[in-house]
Amino acid sequence: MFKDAFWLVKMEYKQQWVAVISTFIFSLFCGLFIGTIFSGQMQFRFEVDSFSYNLFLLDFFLIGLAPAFATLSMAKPYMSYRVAKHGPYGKRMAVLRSLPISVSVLALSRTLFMLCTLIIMSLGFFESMTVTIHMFSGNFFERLTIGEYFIFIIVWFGFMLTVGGLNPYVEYGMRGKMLHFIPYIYIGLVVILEIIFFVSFNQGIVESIIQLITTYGWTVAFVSILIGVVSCYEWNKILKRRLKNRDYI
Amino acid sequence: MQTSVLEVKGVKKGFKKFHFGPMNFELEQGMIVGLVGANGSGKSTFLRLLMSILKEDDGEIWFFGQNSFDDQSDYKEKIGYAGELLEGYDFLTIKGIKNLISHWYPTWNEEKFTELVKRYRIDIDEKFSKCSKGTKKKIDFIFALAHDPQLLLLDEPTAGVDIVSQGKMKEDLIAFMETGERSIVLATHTVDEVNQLCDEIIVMNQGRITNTFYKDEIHDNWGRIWVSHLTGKVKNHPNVIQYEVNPPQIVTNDVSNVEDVLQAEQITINQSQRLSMEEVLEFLIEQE
Repeated sequence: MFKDAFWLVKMEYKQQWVAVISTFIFSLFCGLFIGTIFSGQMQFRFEVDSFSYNLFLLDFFLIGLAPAFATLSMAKPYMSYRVAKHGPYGKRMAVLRSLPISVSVLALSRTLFMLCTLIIMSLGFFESMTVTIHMFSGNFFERLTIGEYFIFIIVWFGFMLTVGGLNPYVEYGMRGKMLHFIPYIYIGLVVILEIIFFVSFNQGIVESIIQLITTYGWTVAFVSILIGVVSCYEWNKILKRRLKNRDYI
Repeated sequence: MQTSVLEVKGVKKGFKKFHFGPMNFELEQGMIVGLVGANGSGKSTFLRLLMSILKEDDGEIWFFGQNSFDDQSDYKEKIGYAGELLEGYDFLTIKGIKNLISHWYPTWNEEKFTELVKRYRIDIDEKFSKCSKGTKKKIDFIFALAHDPQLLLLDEPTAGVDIVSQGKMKEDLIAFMETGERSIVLATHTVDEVNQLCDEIIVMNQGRITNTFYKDEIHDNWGRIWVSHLTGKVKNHPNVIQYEVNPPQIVTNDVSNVEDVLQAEQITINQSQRLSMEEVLEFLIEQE
């Protein structure tokens, strides 16, 4: 089953190499952008210690962009509503469903594709973010040890895994239009969550996670990855059920 | 001994403005069944339900004794389906699509694929999106045949295809059936295909089977009879499909039975003529 699913993943990368490269470049830019905010907010936070626009922005982009690294977000269907509304992913799955491939293999291939894409894109993202922080924030690594920063990256990878699992379901389990609606819903939820968090705790979500990391260390990373893996497994189960029962045309 | 290759039991599917089924259908090995009906009668829906492109609301589909709902997809290795699905991969070349498809068929016959591509003059380096409608149909057809399936499910395979290629397709289908162990379900609007290929004809209307008959039955049973006059009994007879008063004539789906009735009614038969397949299908599709 894994062999067949990997074959499909490999095939998809071959077919979508332009989108792979452009999404990787996008990830580098995101890392650069968030790294810049990160550097600024760390400085601000330790100087003022109050509500910060930077903190809000950092939460917004870091959480808001998390699912974008688990798919080829620079692929045509994501860039054009006109393309998306024709349900390109559903049409591709229709072809695959007509072939002698079990639904388990199809669902697994989508989850593996999501996982591989997340690893590739997050590598670009975190690398670019780290370099930017290193360049623009002189005192960042005085506040956070390299070990703690590494834990932060793992924690964030776990979160990306948790929300990234949504992508295969949206792409292959829903109508094409949803590809453009779901991100708005997600962003809306992120904003609401941020506001609630700021009102309740008077600090940012990312800031709180950094505090948790400095207090509990690797436990936070372990919990985050565990949640990510379990979510991934559950998303796969939901996707499999959906692929078995949906209409593709 | 006849072996069932496909069995459909009470399959239903509801859409906003269209209801398919309940459909019961059985296909024996060695048979070609033609699905005919007006546009929107449910022929394509039926084939898509068979291939799990659409999910039935109720009922069961069995291929080669295996339930299609099982996650195992072995049975699909024995099926060749041509149903205009490849649009999803229209950004690939024909060769690219071939690489994607051929991997999944242990019986993929590369030699046959090359031969068919040459026969139908397909440029495999051309992007699928750049192909004409007829060429896309031919590509669909080639992919359906190239893995030596046991069963072909063809959705209007010759629609939009040039006359020469249509002829070649018919030849290929006849050759496909030569062993007597293979079967075809063919959705079509082309009377020639029904005439030349099909053993059994299924007429569909609004998602249901309205008539099923063997091709030979049409020639034996359907006819137009010109008569001296018409009586109420003849006009209302269940085997009289249509009548005209001037000149008095009837169309029947059971010539011998109606001839007996005419004789009993003392009506003179002036002339009678067997109906062509085209005329019969027109009646069957129109009358619904």
